Amino acid sequence: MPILTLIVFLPLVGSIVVLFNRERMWVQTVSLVTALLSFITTLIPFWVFKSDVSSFQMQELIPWITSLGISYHLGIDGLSLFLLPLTSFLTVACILISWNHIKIKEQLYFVMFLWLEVGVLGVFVALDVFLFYIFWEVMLIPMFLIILIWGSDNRRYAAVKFLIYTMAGSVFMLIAIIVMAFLNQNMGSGFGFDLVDWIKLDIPFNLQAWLFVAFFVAFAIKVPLFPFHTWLPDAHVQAPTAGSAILAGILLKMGIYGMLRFCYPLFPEAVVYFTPTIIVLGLVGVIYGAFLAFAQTDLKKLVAYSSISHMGLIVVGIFALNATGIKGGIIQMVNHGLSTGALFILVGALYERTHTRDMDKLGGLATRVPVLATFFMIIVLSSIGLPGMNGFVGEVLLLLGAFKYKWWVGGLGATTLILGAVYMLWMYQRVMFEKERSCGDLIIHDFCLREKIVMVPIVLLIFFIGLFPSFFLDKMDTSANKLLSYINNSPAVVAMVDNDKVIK
Amino acid sequence: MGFYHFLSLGIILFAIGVVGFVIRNNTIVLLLSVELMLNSVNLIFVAFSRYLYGTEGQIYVFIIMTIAAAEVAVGLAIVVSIYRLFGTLDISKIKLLKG
Amino acid sequence: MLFKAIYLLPLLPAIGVLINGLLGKRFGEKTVAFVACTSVGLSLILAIGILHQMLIASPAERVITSSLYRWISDGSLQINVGFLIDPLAIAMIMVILFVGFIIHFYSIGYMEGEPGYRRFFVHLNLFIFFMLILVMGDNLILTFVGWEGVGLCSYLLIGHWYEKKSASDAGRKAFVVNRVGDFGFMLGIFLVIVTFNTVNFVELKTILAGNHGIPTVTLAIISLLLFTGAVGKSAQFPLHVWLPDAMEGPTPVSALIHAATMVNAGVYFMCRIFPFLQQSQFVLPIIALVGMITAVYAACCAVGQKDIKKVLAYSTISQIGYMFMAVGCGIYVAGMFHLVAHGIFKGLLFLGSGAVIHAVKGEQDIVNMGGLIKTIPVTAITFLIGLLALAGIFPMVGFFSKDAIIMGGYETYGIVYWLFGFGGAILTALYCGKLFGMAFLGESNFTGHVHKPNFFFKAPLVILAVCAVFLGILGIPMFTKNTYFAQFMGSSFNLGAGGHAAAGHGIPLSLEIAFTLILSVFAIAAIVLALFMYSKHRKTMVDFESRHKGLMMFLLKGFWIDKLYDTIWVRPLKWISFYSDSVCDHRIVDGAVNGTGKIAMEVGKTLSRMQTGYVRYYAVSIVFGVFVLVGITMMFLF
Repeated sequence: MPILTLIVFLPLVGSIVVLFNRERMWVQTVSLVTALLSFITTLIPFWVFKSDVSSFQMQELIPWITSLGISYHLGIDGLSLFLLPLTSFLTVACILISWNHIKIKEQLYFVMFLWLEVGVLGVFVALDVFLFYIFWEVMLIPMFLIILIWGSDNRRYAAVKFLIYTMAGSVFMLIAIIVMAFLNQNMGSGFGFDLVDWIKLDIPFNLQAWLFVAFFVAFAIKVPLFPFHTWLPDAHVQAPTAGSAILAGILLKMGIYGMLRFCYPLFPEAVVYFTPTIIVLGLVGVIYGAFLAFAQTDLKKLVAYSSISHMGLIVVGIFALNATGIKGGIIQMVNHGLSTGALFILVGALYERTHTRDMDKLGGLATRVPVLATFFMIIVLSSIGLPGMNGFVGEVLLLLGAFKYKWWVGGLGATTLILGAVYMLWMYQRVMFEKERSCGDLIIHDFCLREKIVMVPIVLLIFFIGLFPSFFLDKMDTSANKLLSYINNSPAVVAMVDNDKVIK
Repeated sequence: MGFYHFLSLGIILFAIGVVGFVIRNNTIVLLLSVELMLNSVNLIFVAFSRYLYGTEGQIYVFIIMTIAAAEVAVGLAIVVSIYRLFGTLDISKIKLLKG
Repeated sequence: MLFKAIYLLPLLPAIGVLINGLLGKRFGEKTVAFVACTSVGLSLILAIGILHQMLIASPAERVITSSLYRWISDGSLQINVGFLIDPLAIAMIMVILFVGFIIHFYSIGYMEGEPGYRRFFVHLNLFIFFMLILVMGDNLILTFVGWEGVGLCSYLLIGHWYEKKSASDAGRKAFVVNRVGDFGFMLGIFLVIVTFNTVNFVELKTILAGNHGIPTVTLAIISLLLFTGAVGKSAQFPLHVWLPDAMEGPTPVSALIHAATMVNAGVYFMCRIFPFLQQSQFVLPIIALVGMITAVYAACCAVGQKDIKKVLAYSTISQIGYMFMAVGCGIYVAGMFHLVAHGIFKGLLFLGSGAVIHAVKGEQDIVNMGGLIKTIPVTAITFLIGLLALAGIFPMVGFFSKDAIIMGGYETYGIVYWLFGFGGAILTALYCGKLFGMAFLGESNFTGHVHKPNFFFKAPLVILAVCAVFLGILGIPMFTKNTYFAQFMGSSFNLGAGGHAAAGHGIPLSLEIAFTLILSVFAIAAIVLALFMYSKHRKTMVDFESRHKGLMMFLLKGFWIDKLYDTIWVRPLKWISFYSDSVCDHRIVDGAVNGTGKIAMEVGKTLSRMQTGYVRYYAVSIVFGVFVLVGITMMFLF
């Protein structure tokens, strides 16, 4: 039973069914049912997955374009295992929150979300790099359209910036992919795009460095790593609520995923070589993003910059070159997806009610929307890494990983503890506490049932990950060690380490 | 009358076509100039065909004539719609492509 | 056979939180209060049972551990959710649950009719839960969970009246300043993990008791980092700034969190990690120094305060300073004893101040009170008992606990420390006298009807006052290292072969008694003097204060330290952040991105001028192009 194929293409099937009828109820119901089914299918791997196997699991391999060595190759490991349900879960949430709020081209909207899901799921399971690239690019188009058609005032600028920026990164990656295919021809098993074959190649360091940079830039733009981050605030601010949620919740994770999936096994020596630079960039992102977040008055922008800060920390963690950091990175991807996704949903809900995202105009809402305020509080706390919630587990592992790498890296990274609290709590205070400023005469409803249905599972998951992280950590343990072993076992790296020892 | 006479005639006709295409303003005249160029090339093809004792040149001529016929049809249709759109056939007045 | 299910202790308040939080929407005030108080009460009963078991067990067996499940694991590092109760923990637990229960009870009356009634009790219960996690956690990370959790509850409860900007500012400030400390705490934990590969207290103690070969410097750095956390949580100089502001919260919160329990967590935690302190010599003097500075500094500030709660807040900071002095002298038992004593009498004082504030309808400025002893005698007398305990007057519990600390300072570091401790004690006596004189004695400056306290106010005050009087028994026999309290606690501070903690050179008993007498006499003199001056000659004192306005403001504002932080931290950081937003990010980073786009546009525009729109130019350029191409081809061919 080709489960992964089912997972990837189920939303596509659903989207075709959506097209049968234009009616609102039909469109909504079918999309929701599809998303739910898709969510259920993405849970299947949890049962099938064996946490002690280090190679890819549930593989499907069908020759596709044989003359170019392209095959339809899918598979998962402990890295992608969690990203699949996260994707489908957030898609369900996004469909639910945009239930009645899309006024134009509703059918297209829901179809776009389902296609987006196809693209993202495909990215997470593709093992053939050509296939990966196709999914990677396919996913851009729905996102571009979501911002362009259903965004707010300055949507064209944001959408085009998003598209061009991401495309520009992808071009480098494409070149590198083609070079890799030729390398495979020269040094390996013939012209081909299969990742599993590529991993076996032993690429000379000079070439590795160039290829690594080409891949890394594409992923860094996606993450987004400082200084490639400026598309993110624009895209977030202009995108509709669900778009922002999925953008922050899932699309950013693809960058981190790519780094772990490709940069680590393919270019281990380059990874070691570039680690200091990347760590510095990540740290700058952590601190700089937090400072920027503090300066914002627009709620969405604040959350967007906070994303930059958090993602910077993940980059620091995964490039700390130890299993702790990598595991922290993987689990923090899930955490960040949940909490930032939820933050955007909440901000969107506030915007619907008050018609403003300007924090100077909000205030005193805790009395009027107590349930929303409670959820908001929980999510904010999860985002600033309060122990007992998911963010803490991720942060501890990431920072511990960074600390193991160099103590000052951990130290600088840990400033996120303070800075995060500063901007997040100030934001919460300006929105929820104090006296009302300008929304006094609006009729503001508290959360309705549909919104509660969206938030409750997120909150439950937040606590579940926070209280029982072992459930997740155990499953990713082998994969994280495997990723690390590429680095540690690479001959050049071993030599480098030996040199270090001699010098010491 | 030898091969070079035909060749010279072909080149002269082609030159007339080019110059006509460049300096005239009326779209229909441009179309005619293009036809002239095509036919001059046809002439050269035929001449070479005779000179080299081959048949390929003549085959090409037939292809070109067919294409030319089609092209005239399309071209005239475009001319008609240009006239409808702009109310003139003066090519110097039509500059939508200007950057 | 010891009772093993100790996880029930935190579980019960947690259940209270869940019941009130999730189902409580339709509950009336009475039900909410009942659920909240019952959950804490049951925990208290359980804790008393455990205490009893510990008392009858032999000292070596006074440890209960219970590991629930594996929480986080990373390679060989295992972090469990597990609990540990030893005499040290149970002492703290008793304070938390006993004072906590009383304050829950008190809050029933105090918060009556408030709009956020349920929210208040949910947060209060949640606080008890986290506090128990903090104390009972058997490893650093779990302690950190409780540590941050109580910080959260403190944030929520200080900002309970969130519509007041000052209240939510104060809550946020508390959280952020605490986070600064936690930053150090976290790095300390990391260093422990890297060094020891375990965070379990029992294992750490075993390693440190043995022959471990870990450099002293590492241990010292760990201790200092963890101490940073304690400084933040316990509001010690220089991270004390949040506590005076925290008085924005409801008074029961100030009593529970900002006097009796949470702020003492730092002291508790230092005692918990005493093996580290013990083996890194130069850290103890630093801790003692920080404690000493804080004790004297905060006592000075307390003298200058006008708000009844702020006097108590600074006094809390000062008393915790004493506890850190004790820790810094290596006399952990004395520190813990003062912690317990302080929990009782400071809880009493805050509850008393709450009763006063309630009586005079929200007035907090002691200048506007006076003569209240006639109208609310029970409150006044219990308050006086609390103040006497605070000032360390025989036979209150404070006398025993504080004396042990000051003598310990002398024993370890000599006369200078004794003098500072002595000075702090005199200042304490002074502000105690001033507070009571201004608020309860003399003529009444309060116009209006004084509310009489009801049962919910009186009962807690009386119970705590009784404790404050009789708890001193634990400090007997005096002048020995073997008080009842020490007999019970001692086994917690035994580092195997390392011997007993205290490193004093032993001073003759006569000298000790002499010092104690001097201290007591001076303290009594100071308190009587202040009482007399501020009640009978209030005018003189007020005139005196208004003549030295600068000095009084200096004291009132806590040496302007808040302002200093505002100038050197808050403003620059704000400035940096706004600057990096408006200039750095928009102009430079995004400018580069948009600039790239702009350059492309400009190039395109320039090139597009070649598109004249004249078909003939295109034709000519085609012809020209053909010539060029043909020409180039020719060149290569021939």
